[in-house]
Amino acid sequence: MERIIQQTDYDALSCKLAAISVGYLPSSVLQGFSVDMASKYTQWHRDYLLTLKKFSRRTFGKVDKAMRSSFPVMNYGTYLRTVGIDAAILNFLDGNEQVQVVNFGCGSDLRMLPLLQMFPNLTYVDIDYSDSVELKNNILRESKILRTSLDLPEENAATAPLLIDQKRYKLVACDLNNTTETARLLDTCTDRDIPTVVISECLLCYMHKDEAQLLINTVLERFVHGLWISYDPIGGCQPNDRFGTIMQSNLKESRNLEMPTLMTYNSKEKYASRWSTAPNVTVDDMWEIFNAQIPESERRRLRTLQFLDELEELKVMQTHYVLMKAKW
Amino acid sequence: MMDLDKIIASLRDGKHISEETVFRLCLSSQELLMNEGNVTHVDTPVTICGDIHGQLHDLLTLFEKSGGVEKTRYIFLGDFVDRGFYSLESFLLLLCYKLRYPDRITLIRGNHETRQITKVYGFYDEVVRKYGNSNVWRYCCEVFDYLSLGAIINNSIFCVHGGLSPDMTTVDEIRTIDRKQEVPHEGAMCDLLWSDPEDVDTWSLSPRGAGFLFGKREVDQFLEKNDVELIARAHQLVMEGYKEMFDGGLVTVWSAPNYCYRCGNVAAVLKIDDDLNREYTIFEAVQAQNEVGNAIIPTKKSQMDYFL
Repeated sequence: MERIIQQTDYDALSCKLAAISVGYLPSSVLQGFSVDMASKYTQWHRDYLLTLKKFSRRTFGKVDKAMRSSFPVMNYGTYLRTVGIDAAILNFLDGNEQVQVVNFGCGSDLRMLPLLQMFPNLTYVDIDYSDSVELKNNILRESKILRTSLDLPEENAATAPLLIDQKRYKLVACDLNNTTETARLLDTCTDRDIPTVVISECLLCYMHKDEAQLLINTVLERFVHGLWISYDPIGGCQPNDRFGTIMQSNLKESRNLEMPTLMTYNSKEKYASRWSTAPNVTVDDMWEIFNAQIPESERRRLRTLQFLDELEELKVMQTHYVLMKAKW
Repeated sequence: MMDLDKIIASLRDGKHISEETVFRLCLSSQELLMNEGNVTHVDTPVTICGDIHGQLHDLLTLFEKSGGVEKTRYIFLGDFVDRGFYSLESFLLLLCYKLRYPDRITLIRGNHETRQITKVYGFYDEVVRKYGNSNVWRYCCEVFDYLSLGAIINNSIFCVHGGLSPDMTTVDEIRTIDRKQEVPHEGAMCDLLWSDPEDVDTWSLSPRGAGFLFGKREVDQFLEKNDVELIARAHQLVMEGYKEMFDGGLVTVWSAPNYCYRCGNVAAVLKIDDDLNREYTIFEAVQAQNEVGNAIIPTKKSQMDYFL
């Protein structure tokens, strides 16, 4: 199961690369990028893919192919999830002098690169399964552009589980189902008194109920102040809504991938109920975010990129993904 | 002379059709479609069908649930190809029926029946995957250029894929379009294939990036000016299979159940009888099984369907 879950990272990577290659991302407006940062963002992602080829031609082939055949409806969704999370991070970073970010289930996500450059007082911790972070470590050190941006030595002196152990950036191998180990590593890598952004982007949906809850509780207790940003699918709670059950059976059939709590937390409210001890919790589905939080100028820009063949399909999909923000 | 019945049987089984056969089918279809007007006259009783999108096994269910082409007259409102796994087979099956029963089936062009859109949305890739080259895709695209832009049932019901255009407000004007071309990015021909009804006061920009949004006022004006009572169109996924709007002056019919194998919607067709009564038939997606009935195993999809 671990490998099957870990491979979903390549889907996320393909989606993001596709959205970048067509121009959905970067969004300078919502990601707060300068012209220079926007071009770096594109370059970093391209270089990550090219370097991936050196370590696994097979993975590269899969990612590259998927990237080239991504439908506009997927590009829209990738755009929404990326800018939704980034805008929430930026909002928190702008309001605090010193912040640390902990990205649970980081996979190949590269959002630490712009953020570390844009916010000199920021520290950033990426955590994922060891297979995922080992590949990421290899790529970050192999690519000159990526290495330079992190000021990372080419040779790999660090040892597991801290594959990268810099003052401002740490790349950590950890099975997040193991809360004891997770807590121990957070003790090593973070400061409980510094305001903390926790990101879980398609992580909790693969975990079992109890493990996920334990992880949430542990983190909420551990950091004095923080913002948890979580993005996941929900099964849907309307009487005739079959999206979730079809999704479970499609994923099970095509790749033996399970989402154990998709139908348990099948509504926005149920999804967010797991953070109920946090004083300030908001949750929106991605369709609400598209309609309420994406400025008209951005939507106009998206319309010029590709013809969107089916708006209702976008709605069906995006009402089944949520962005939860819990502040404490 | 082609043995159409044999090709139809092969298509229904999801079997490979030779490039040569596709070429000849497409050529004959063009000859036939060339003689049709932009807006074809159709008599009742007739069954109106919405988007198919390459869902061949669901298309077979559609025929099964609605009487079959041997007994029933059909109008298909376009979007035969893209998204599903069997765009080619679905389109060819409809062409074969058209050649075999020319007055029983009317095919209208959808916004997906173009070179540009099929390159993005799957039909092109499907052909290359099945044939190793794009010739068959090219033959089909040439047929697309000859498809009608609309149909009119008993001079009372106007059928179109998308909707209305601010540039042309009468059926007679639509008849003057030179349709035998790739669908342009703007103008009346584009609008007919791309526009959507919406709760708007007047013509508005479409979020799709092509066509317009139009409201009750535009629909009422069109109905009155052209002396028709209904606009039947497809183009938009409707979870319940069909949706009437504007006091019944417009209906959306959607015929691809569980769209893209993940949306969980039902599908519908609309039968219009001699008194212009409307009767909807709802149907569900078939569970894909190996060689059972009309169910065919979908090819392995490389596409990512979900955000993971």
